Amino acid sequence: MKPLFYILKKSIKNSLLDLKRKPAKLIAYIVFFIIISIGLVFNRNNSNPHTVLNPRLYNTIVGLVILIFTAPSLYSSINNGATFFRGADINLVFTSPTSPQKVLVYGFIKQIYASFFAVFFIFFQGPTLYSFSNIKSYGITVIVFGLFIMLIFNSILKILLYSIASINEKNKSILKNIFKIIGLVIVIAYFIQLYITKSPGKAIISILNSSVISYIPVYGWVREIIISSMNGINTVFFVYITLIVASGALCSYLIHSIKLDYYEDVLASTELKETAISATRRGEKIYIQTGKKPRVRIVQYTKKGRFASAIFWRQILEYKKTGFAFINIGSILYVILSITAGLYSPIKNLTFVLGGTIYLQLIFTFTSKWQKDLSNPYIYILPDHAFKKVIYSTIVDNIKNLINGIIVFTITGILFKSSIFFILLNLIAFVAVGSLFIYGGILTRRILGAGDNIIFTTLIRMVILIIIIIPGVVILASLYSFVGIFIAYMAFITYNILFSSLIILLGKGVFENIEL
Amino acid sequence: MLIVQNLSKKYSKELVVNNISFQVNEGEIAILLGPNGAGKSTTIKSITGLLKYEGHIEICGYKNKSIEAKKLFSYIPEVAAMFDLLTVYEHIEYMASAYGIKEYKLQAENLLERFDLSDKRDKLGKELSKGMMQKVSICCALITDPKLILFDEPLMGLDPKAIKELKKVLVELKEKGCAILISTHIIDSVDELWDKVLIMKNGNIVLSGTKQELMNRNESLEELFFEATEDKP
Repeated sequence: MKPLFYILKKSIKNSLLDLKRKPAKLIAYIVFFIIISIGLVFNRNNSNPHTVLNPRLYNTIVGLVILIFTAPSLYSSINNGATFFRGADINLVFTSPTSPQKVLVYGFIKQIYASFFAVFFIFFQGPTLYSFSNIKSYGITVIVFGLFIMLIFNSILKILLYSIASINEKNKSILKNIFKIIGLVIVIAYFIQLYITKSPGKAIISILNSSVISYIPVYGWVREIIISSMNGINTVFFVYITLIVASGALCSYLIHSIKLDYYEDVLASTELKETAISATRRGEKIYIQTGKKPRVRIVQYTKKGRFASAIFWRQILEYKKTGFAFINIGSILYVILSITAGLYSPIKNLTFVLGGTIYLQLIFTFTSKWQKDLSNPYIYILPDHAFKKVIYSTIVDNIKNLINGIIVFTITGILFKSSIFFILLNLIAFVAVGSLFIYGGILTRRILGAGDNIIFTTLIRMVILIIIIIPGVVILASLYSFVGIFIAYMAFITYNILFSSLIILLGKGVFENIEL
Repeated sequence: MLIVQNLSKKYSKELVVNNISFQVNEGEIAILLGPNGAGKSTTIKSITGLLKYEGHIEICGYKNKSIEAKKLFSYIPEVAAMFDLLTVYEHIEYMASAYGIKEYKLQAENLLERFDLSDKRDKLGKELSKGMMQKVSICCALITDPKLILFDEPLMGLDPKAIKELKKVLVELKEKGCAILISTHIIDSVDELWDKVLIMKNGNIVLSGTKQELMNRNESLEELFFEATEDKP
């Protein structure tokens, strides 16, 4: 075990030493921690009158979060498996004279570390949660803890599922069918509730508040643990923790008893993970299909451009291959969200839709096209001005924002019966915010580089983008009530455009050197 | 054609390339030899302008980072990188457009044929093996009709036929007056090609000379390499 602990110890030590060598990164991390701490402390001591979070709604949100974070990944693990390991572990640890049991413990420790960082994002929601008076002072810690043990259990269960599925095809299809049956039961339950309640929203709330859920092993228990952030901790809380730990131990035992040689099971998934990590670093999609031929449309590469403009036309070609013009999966998501917001939103105001989509844009900005070009040396040696390269490599992202904006505000605008003028105003604001995020992303890339720790780099980038957008949002919010909607929007749009232009000038060097 | 003067490069505080100077003339194949970590790839990347450095680098009379210089050289990296959604042929078309080249189709077909890629022209970047990526990378570099080519470990991952073809291409380019700089640590791979050798160790050029100068010493390239790079007791 000693050599394995040596790897863990040295990895932590070297990542800290790396921060010493890159002070800009260290400063960014410190700023990030200060922001989270301030947010939590101030909101906890906030003496303003609090609102109450509806327990049924809270149950629903927690249920949905658990469902979204587990169901798809568990199902895909039947084909792809799961892994605690990295490529270096396979090459250097698996082949070393260490028992598989010890290697598995080493993997668990790594997974605990990874899971902790994965749930760190939840701390961002701390200030929002503490604005509700019925959330306990230790609420956020309980939520983070609940999700943390759930993620660890997920990883173990995923390996177990894969181990069972990989024995033979029959097992694989049985497991898949079990998932399909569970899915079907949920869908039937939903339609029964829909028939009873006559409301899609109420039907979901009703299902996820069913008393049966708390009896579902692990995931029902996790929900009960998280709900303790509202109901308070009692003896049952500790019983649930014990049950989850025992279930994890049982699954680990099963993994060993089914197949002592789990190394083979994690090989493919580790390879997948490595591909996903390098794809994330390049800013590309991280969901990768294995064993299947990539599905792309056959399109003609007719318009090609010259010099820097060739980047733009190449990106257009890539878009055409993966969707219909600029309409892709992201657009469909926007359509669904717009229709849902348009039909069920309690506040029929486009400004609130703009607020929600800013949040979505912040997330989607991490898959911008320009980032993919950075992993390839061609863009740096392409014979044209760095400024032109920045502009041409980001036009497509801006157009995509325009298309998404048209989708969102046309649908919600019609459903809200808003004026065309107000729809247009929101559309322009949406595109302007998108530009700010695109060029803000370039600036953060210039400050942070590609980043070795993806989760941390992503967090810091998110914080920087939030800091950049905050003045604009403050301007919009303050002028909205006192001066008028038109002036507020114009000021907001102007801020975004001016700041984007400034960032372009500061960040253009990103395409000059591969080294920042 | 390529002039490198007093080139130095540091990573953090570590000096990786230490004040080196050399020149590669028209129609000359220069090889940059050295053990792992000698600074060969860093030198090549500095010449391409991918890295920041100290010193002066000139390509055909232009500063290496200028647009004019970028139009004149091509670079084949050690690890080929492809665009996932572009086919093999579209990679070549893209490079031609990015370098403003209009008449490229005949040359593109010729390159595909030579590197056995004709039947793989419609394969996507993400479907290619490492060796195939390297071949596409070479085709992308050659389609721009460069006056200077920088190869970083060019034969890595190539099959024997592609190696033979690449060597032939190098000789043809040389005859056309192209300056070629090849970085490698596999001496055998370039033994019969070179006109000038630059042997690097710990960021310094420890031995340099033309084929004639060094062959007058009646030693093979391998012997010269070990003499220059092995620590004396």
